[in-house]
Amino acid sequence: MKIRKIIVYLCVFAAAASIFTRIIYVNKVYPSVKIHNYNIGDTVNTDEYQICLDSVKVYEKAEWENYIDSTQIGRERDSYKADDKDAALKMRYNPDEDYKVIETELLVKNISGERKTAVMGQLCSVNGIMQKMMMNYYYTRRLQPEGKIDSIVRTIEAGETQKWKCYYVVNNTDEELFFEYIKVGQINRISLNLHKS
Amino acid sequence: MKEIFKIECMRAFRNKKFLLMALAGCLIALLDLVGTSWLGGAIDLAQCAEKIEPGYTNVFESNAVVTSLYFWMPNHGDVSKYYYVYKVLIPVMAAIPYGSSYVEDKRSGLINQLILRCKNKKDYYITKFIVTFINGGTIAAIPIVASLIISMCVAPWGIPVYSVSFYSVGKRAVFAELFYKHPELYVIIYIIYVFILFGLLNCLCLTVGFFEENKYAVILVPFLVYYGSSFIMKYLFGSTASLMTTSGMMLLYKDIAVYVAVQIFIVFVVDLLFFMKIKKDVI
Repeated sequence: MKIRKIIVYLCVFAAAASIFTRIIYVNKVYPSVKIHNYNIGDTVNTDEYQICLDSVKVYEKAEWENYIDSTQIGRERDSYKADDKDAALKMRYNPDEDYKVIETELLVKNISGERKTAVMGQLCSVNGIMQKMMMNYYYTRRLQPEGKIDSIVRTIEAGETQKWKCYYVVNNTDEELFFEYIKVGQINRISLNLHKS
Repeated sequence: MKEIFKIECMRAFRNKKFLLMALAGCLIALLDLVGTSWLGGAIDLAQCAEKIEPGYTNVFESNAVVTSLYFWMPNHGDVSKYYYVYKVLIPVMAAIPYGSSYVEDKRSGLINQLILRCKNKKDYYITKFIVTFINGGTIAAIPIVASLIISMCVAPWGIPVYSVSFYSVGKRAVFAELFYKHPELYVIIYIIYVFILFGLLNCLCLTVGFFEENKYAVILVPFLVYYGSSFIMKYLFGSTASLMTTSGMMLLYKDIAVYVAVQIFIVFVVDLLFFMKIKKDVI
């Protein structure tokens, strides 16, 4: 009876020890899930790109509408027909409510040594702890430094640095928002500090 | 009180039924990973760990980074048939080891001997209540803890990232922000919530023991209340407010939390009726 007890205890101990060892191994060897925090202006080095969030500008609704009206591109809502059922899906924000526009200016350098194709808004994005934001294609395509672009898919030559402007429109900005670049083993965040300014 | 508590704990936790239910719970947790598509994700991650090198980008064919909470059973929700089985059967599983012990004590006359060991009658009932609560809560919490340990064996611990859309904790869920900021606290609260919910449901067996002496009927009572609340709540407020749906805290939404709290409170009050009937009991 005593021997049986000892065997049971030994089995339990061995199982616990192997589980514990496995957990330590997984946490050491597997792709890291640690979040790295950076500041605006810092350069994030990845395997393929060197990304720098050069500047961030936040426009209030009225300020943004004045700015857009001063350009010739027109407001996003006006570009859709009144009976366009997909307009809400395309816009992803309610233009009748209060909203903010976040303009991010990025410097993206291709350090992979070969020509690369990157999709703006997929390479990195603006998110919150509880918010996944989609880049606004309408304004992003029309407000690039070089003028209107046809596609958000960008080709970057080896060693080339490109300046991108990405626009995000959001109705609720109660949350802290951050610029996020996620890749296997890397979660890089830059707080946008919208509430502090 | 100490002596009777010891005896009752031995009866509740050192019996074959408890061991069997605990193992069944662990099996459900294991099958949730091994028997579903999540195993594929775990293998993919393991391959990624071996191949990780500059330029390697694919985990689940995306750039996402997963934590062990992705593989945690409650995160799968009803998509996982094993989690659904857990959710449906757990009140019965929790009641099997010890839920009917009061009825059995009464039928066998053991209750008299046990009460004689106590200084007063109340001690026996209080002990019975506490041990039934702990036993039910433990059986319910074991698969959740086992699943967490299993998931920690296949993926590293870390802070979940909302934007990768891998986690079922949405904006509406209670403690959602805690999940994405301090997941360890969220997990502790989750386990405590499951423990309390099923502990209280298990104590219904005691109250029902006054009216019903069939132990099988007594064991089924927590399940009937739990499952019955699904129908009532679905009719009144929509299915999301039922105890069964919200037994997974990830689906406990802020706007319906009050209804769930009221249901748990009602269960607690019904549990307390066990003490109201002490004077009327057989002895």
